[in-house]
Amino acid sequence: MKSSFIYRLLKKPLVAGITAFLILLLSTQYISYQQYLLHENKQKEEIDNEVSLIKEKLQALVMYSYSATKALAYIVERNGVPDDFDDIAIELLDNHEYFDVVELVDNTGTITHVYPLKDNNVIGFNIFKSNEALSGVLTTIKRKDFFIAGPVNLKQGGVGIISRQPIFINEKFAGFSAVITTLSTFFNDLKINTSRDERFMYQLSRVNNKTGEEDFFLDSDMSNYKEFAVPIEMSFGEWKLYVVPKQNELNSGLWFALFGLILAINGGWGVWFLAGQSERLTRLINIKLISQESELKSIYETSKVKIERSESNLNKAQQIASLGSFEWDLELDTLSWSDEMYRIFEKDPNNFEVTYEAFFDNVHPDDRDFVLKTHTDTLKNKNTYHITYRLLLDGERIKHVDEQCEIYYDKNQKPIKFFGTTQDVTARVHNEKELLNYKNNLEKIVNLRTEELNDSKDALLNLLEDINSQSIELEKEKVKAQSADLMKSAFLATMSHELRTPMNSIIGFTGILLKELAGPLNEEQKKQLAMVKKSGEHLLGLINDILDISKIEAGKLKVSLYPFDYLATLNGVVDFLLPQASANGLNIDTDIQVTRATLNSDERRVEQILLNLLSNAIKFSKKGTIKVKVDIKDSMLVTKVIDEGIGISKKNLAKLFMPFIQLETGLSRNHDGTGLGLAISKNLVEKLGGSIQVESAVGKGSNFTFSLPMENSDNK
Amino acid sequence: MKSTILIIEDNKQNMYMLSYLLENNGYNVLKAYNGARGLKIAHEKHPEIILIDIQLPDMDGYEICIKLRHNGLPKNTTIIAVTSYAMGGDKEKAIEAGADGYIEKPINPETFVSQMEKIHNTR
Repeated sequence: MKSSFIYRLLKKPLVAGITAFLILLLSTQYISYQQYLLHENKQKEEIDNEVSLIKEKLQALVMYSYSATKALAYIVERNGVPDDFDDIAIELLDNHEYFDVVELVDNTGTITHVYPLKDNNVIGFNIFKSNEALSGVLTTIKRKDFFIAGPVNLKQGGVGIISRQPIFINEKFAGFSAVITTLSTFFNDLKINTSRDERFMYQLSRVNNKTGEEDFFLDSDMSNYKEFAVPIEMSFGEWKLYVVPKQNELNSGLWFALFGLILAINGGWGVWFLAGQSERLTRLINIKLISQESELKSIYETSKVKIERSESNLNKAQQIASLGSFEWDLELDTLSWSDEMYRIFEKDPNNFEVTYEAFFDNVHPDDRDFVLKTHTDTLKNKNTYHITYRLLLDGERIKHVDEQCEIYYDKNQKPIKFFGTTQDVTARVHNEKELLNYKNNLEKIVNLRTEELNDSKDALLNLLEDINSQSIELEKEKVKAQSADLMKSAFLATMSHELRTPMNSIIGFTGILLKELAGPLNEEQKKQLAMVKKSGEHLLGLINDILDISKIEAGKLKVSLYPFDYLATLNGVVDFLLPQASANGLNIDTDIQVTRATLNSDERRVEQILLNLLSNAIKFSKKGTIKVKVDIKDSMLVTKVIDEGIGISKKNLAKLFMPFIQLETGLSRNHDGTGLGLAISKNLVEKLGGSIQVESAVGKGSNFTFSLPMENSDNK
Repeated sequence: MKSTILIIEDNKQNMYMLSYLLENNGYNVLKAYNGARGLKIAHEKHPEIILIDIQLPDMDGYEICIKLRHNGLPKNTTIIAVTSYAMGGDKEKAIEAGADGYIEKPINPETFVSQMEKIHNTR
């Protein structure tokens, strides 16, 4: 239990991260610390080595300085100032690693001998006069013994240590022997560059007797490094040596620590992140698994439903078709039936065990041999079959069934299963029987009818022959009539043209002459020409009328329908006849009840009708006013021409519209007119889809009314 | 300076009458007594006005109208059909054939020239 808790806790990314961080931190810090200590120790060792080294040499310095100065002093005391001072000095300087200058000073304090002289010529310099040297000098004298003075700023430059031995000759002070150690040389020999060492700062100090403070030999400031002072036994005062590690070298331990920290942070963060990722991943996988699981479940459910539905559909289909299916497993020798099979065989599935024998019992005895043979042959020959046979159920009911079968094979072409269908086709078989009977009956009837038809056919053929010969005759007649008709049309057209052409000349030229275009005319000429013109016009009118009536009689009169302004046409006719009317003392009045009348008709012919009616009105009136009324009624344009003329008797009304009849009116027959005008007008009106009537009474005048259809209804 | 008129008319007396009236009114008259000649003169002389008698013996007057209208005459040439109204529909056929107007025979010498000028001017 506990361990699992810890495990789960650790699995939390943050915890894991922090733990990793801490572990890394602690381990690296420990290592760093160790490293740090190691480094420190190493350093310490180095310092100790340096210190020992220097210390040794300093102590040696004392020794050698002492022996050197003592030796020189001895020589001077025994033999006086040597001539071979230089040689002696050279020999003494064999140990020049400790000191590098040898001096002799006389009792006045003046330096008498120096070796090496080069760069170092202090001969004649008086040491008593130097404040700096004084204290050391005096101490030497007082002690009457070897003494080391320093740190001293050397006359030749630099800092140094001066070791002096007083010389006493016969117990009288005779001067000093001295050796000088230039500290820079001293340290150089130790391979130490005191001013420029990378790793250490060096300092040498000596406690000043007077001030009690340290006098420092070198330049470094040691005020912060008091703990590094190492006392040195030098017999002449308190000497201290400092070897201080420069802070330019960071303990590698610190680097380790820093690195360790970074590592710890990265490590910790890395672990936290990865742990987080893995957690996330695990979560996602779980979600995916769950969703997949539910998907699979739903697919399963759907499939299950589909299968169930499919099965029930199949069942239903079999039921509807009365088609059952069976399966005969050859390896297990078992027979299985679909629900519909039980129904066809009228067996209860719960009580009836399906075997081949049980099935066979239900086959009609007369068909058993056939069925058995089919099944056995199929097994033997491994083919399919399709047979129809009868069932005998319960010894009494006969059913016809239609059976088909297929064989299923395994990989090696060995038959493993029979799958087949059995369909109840009783109804079909009965229908077929009936159809056959019916067909046979029908054939008999058909034969009978055919005989009758043949007789009729013969009769018809005879009739047809007669008709054919008749129609040939008719055809001939038709052709004749057509050519006659064509001839008529041609005749009329030619006549129209031929008759009118000379009229053109007659009327035209007389007109030109009467206008005096060809020259002036006298009155008599004008009169006679006018008569010619009038006759010509009359003749033209006759010709036109005759041509019109001919066309009408021949049925060749054509009209062309076009929209035109009826009122304009009417006014044109009225204007044309007005002079003639007033010459007869008559007025023409128009009473037009429409503002606009666009008529879709033959303008020329309508004009002709109006001209005819109005001229008649003028012709047969002696006085009064001729009224022209126009109105629209029931989509018909109705025009009335009413005169106050002599009128027409009842007897004559009947003959009015017949051609060639001019009425006996009592007026002279010398009317301009052919007697054709009204006949033509009537024909024209009717041809244009209208009608014409007349009301009249003798002495009361006449009212000629004609109407024409208005095809457009946008007139009022 | 009045215009040039081409008259295509086969009847000599009619031709005489028409040209007499027109010349009297200051027109320059060209004469063609058949359709083919009429077409030729029309293309050569480009008259401003052409009068065609529809009943020509050699060619259908309507055909000539069409030919004149669509065969490179100046667009503002006035074509007038002279019809005798022997059959219905002459007028309409004339317009459809490209005539700008028609004048009916028989010619009324009093009104002929003004009829013609009216058609020409209202074009």
